[in-house]
Amino acid sequence: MYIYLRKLFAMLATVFLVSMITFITFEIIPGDPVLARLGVDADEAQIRALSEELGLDEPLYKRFFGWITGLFTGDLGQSIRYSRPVSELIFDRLPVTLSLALISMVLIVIIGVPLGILSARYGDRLPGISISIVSQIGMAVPSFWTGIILMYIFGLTLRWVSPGGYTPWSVDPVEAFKSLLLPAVAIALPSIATVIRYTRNTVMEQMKNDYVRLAFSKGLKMNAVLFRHVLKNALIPVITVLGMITANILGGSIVIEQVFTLPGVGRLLINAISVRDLPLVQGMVLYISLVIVVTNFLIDIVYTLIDPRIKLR
Amino acid sequence: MRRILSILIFFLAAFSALSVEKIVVAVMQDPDFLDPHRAAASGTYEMMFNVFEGLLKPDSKGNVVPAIAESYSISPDGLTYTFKLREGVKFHNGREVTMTDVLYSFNRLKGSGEVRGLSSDFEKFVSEIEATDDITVEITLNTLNTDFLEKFIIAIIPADNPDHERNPIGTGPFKFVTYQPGQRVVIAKFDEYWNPDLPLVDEVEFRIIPDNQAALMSFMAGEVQMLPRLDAIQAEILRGRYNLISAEQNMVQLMAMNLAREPFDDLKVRQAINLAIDKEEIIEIVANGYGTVLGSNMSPIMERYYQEGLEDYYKTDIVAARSLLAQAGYPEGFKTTITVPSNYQFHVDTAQVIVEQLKKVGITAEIELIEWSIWLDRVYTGRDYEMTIVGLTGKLSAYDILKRYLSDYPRDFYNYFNPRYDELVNSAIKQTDIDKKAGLFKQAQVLLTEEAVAVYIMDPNFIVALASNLFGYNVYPLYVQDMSTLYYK
Amino acid sequence: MKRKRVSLYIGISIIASLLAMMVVSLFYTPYPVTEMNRDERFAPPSANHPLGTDNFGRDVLSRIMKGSQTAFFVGLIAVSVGGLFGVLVGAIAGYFGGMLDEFIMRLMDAMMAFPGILFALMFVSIFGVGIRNTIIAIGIMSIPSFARITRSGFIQHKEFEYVKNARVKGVSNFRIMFSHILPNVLSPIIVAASMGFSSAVLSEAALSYLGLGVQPPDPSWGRMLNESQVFITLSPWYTIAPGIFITLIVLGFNFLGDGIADLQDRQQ
Repeated sequence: MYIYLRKLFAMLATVFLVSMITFITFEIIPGDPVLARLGVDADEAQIRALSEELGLDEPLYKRFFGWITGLFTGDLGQSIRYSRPVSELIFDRLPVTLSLALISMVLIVIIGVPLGILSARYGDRLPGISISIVSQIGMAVPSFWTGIILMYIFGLTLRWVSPGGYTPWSVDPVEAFKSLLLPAVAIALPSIATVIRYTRNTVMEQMKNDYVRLAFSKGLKMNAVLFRHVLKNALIPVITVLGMITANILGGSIVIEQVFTLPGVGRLLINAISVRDLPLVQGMVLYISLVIVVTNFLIDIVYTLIDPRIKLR
Repeated sequence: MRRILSILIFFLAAFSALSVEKIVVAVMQDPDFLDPHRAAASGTYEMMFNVFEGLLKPDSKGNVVPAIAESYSISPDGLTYTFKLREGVKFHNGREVTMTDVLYSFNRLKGSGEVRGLSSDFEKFVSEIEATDDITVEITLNTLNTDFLEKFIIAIIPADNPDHERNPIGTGPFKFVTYQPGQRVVIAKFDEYWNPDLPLVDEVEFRIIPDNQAALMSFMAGEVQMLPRLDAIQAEILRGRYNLISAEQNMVQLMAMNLAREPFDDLKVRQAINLAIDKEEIIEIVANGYGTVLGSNMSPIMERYYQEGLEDYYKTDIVAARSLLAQAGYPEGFKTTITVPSNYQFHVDTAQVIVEQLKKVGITAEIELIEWSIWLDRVYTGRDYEMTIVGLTGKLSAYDILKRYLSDYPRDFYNYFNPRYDELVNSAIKQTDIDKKAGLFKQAQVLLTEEAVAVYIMDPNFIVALASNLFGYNVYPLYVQDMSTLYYK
Repeated sequence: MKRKRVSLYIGISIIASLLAMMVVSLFYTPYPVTEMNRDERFAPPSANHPLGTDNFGRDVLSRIMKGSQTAFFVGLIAVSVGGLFGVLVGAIAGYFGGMLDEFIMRLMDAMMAFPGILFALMFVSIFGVGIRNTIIAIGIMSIPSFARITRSGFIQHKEFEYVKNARVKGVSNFRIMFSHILPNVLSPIIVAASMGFSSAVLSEAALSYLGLGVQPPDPSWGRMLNESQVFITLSPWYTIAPGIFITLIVLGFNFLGDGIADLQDRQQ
């Protein structure tokens, strides 16, 4: 129990540190949120009105303290750029990011893991080698380029899906799925390759172990050994990788969202930074770091569930 | 039977949903404020032009015509503007516009008592706002400003609306429906619009697509029916398959040189740079030929005030440029930096061409890309730069265009201080005689060209692509999309 | 067992050919990389321009060649920065342990929990856009992975006899760390460096794609992708070429990393 508490504390410390760093950097970086919102044609009177409303002249520590106290009441503050609650803006974007994450995770798991096992099963024979070379290439292709090419082929040339623009699930589930499929594929491809390689490596590693030899000597068939004994152990590192991939996608696939102009959290973050909307950036950073830290925590717990011998640090 | 019926109903419902005539328009950015008095960005006005109206409104010729006001008159001394309200103009909430709303709106702009105003023009020039009866309002200026009439296009908004930002209410042909940040602004037909013939479609969605490539793809896929501010290369792709409308757009793309910095404080250097730059080539490469060469800070579309002939003042001449540079003490050229906002690919491309052109006279220019928010802070406000490229959107009033060079203008980022120029522009708006006024504005433009305050590059054409069954588009010399006259055929 | 070296050979040959291209581009490109030609814009591949021309009429092949300099430069410097600091920090954390370890690893966690793109954006905002700062940002972002690998190696090795012996003999901590332990834990670090090289190239491409990396008119493959994307319907080859070269260099270093790892496995 103690170990979990300690983990929890470390998590909180990490998140706190990240938030503080964000706050301090925003103090240093140039760019004025008021000017950024109003632009070239801003009237002096309008600039004055907005600056007064925002009260940005308060000292740094006061604003940070105010932000922290706000957190405890569930208030992430108001966005400077959009004059709306930060939480509302983030929640508005979550459906896109969550569905993108879900679809790509499904693709990654149902394609990556079986192919990885298959490639390990055939080891150094042709199917194994070819899968591993293809996966090497898959890892090397930049995902935004895949996105561009996919959009060109399926969106512009074949017209199978509508490129650019996102249809919410509530409006039309079929269209929503279609608008998310290509970006999900672009995100999934390099990760599928990574998962294939991980699965292959860990399965092959496990196959060298004594217990596998023992099982074979008892007359068990390859598939039986593979599925009854090896997989359980081999999947632990695979789960780690899957966890990290999930965390990354949930944190916003900035470039892919940019390529497909999806209104996900990644693009919100980019916008928030470019207009110097500190409260919004702060909220986004909090969300992203929480996702990463919590995922890591969950991975640790899954470890101990799968294999009770593993102890938490 | 019941099942068949329900399927029928479903199809009927689907059909009626289809029959809502809707136009999706791609726009580049979010509105800055929905509250029309607090909004400054041209991109906001582009959309909300359809929602809000002032006593007057601009037409597609660049004139102002009565809107909420039925008529207006200007006193002989030019100081007092009298407006008579049109009868039966309604706000989107169904309430009629009253004098209370007009006074509320103008006081909000001018400020009253302790509360500061939201428009420095109203604060500075308006001395009195008075309702002489229920439908007549008199606005008196403290000094003569013959360009002030254009200010009355500013929105009249209901005095009893508690939140102009979350729930904007106006009198325009369309009413505001919803705004989802980063995604869309939706407006719908206002059935009680004072002009019963407009608007022609039921709904308009401004879909926010910051990336013009994605916008193009959405357009080609039929998701978007109207694509304004197409770039010229994209126009090339669409040509022949869609309705393309191209016109001058009253924008001035220029390369400013910081006059407070060496070597740009030397007129000869600025003239040499002007001689070195081949604007035709820039237009051809960057805008695919869709642009008009400029010679000063005025687009030809501003017919009345445009000084002709200045575009030929600096004919590209490498030899002359080199000799001017030598006279200025830079026979070998010099090194400099062009600071460009990174989000405007058009300006970034222009900078790349200019770098190549400047090489020919020995000037080594490096491109420095900075974020737009840093550009606004450092270059536009802080005046910390050597050369920069930007596009300034046009205004109805020549004064609003030329005031950017006044010595006391807070955003005179050129660092141009010339009492003669100030004199010309300030006395122009005191002229009630339109020809004399135009003459003074023209002299001001000549001065800008002669002094080579900047390199005035081009007015890039405004190109809009329309779905092939969409008609009725009107081009304005302003940064607006008038959706009310569009219809499907 | 020879087949196992396949990765190594593929990796070496890809990297060698790209390196050769880079070296050539130092002295020769078919056309000057920034030379514009208004009459030859969007030219399709031909004998004069094997990869066609771009929207300025610049030769794409020349720009691809020059872009390889950027790619190698970015990878090399980023890996050096990340590797140097990562190994240093990881070694200290692993060797000394205790509170110091706890503190360093918390910091590394925070860095990993910090959105990479946000870090790059902030870094570039403070210190200015440009290739140098982009590289440094990418390098800093790769510190945690080097630190973790080094740390785990050090934790393992500090309990070994040779380390204990050295300590008894009174060898300084610094010497034990860097001349006794480090050479023994170097192999996973080298593999990480090779992989880090490819991820640095990918990061630069992504950042340049977002307009943050290399400044025009200097060519970078990521920036070329960014600029060409708009013209994909007009001239697809211009979008395809830089993508293929990014893939190639990443592939090369991944294979190289794998190959080295295989080699080490067999030696043990």
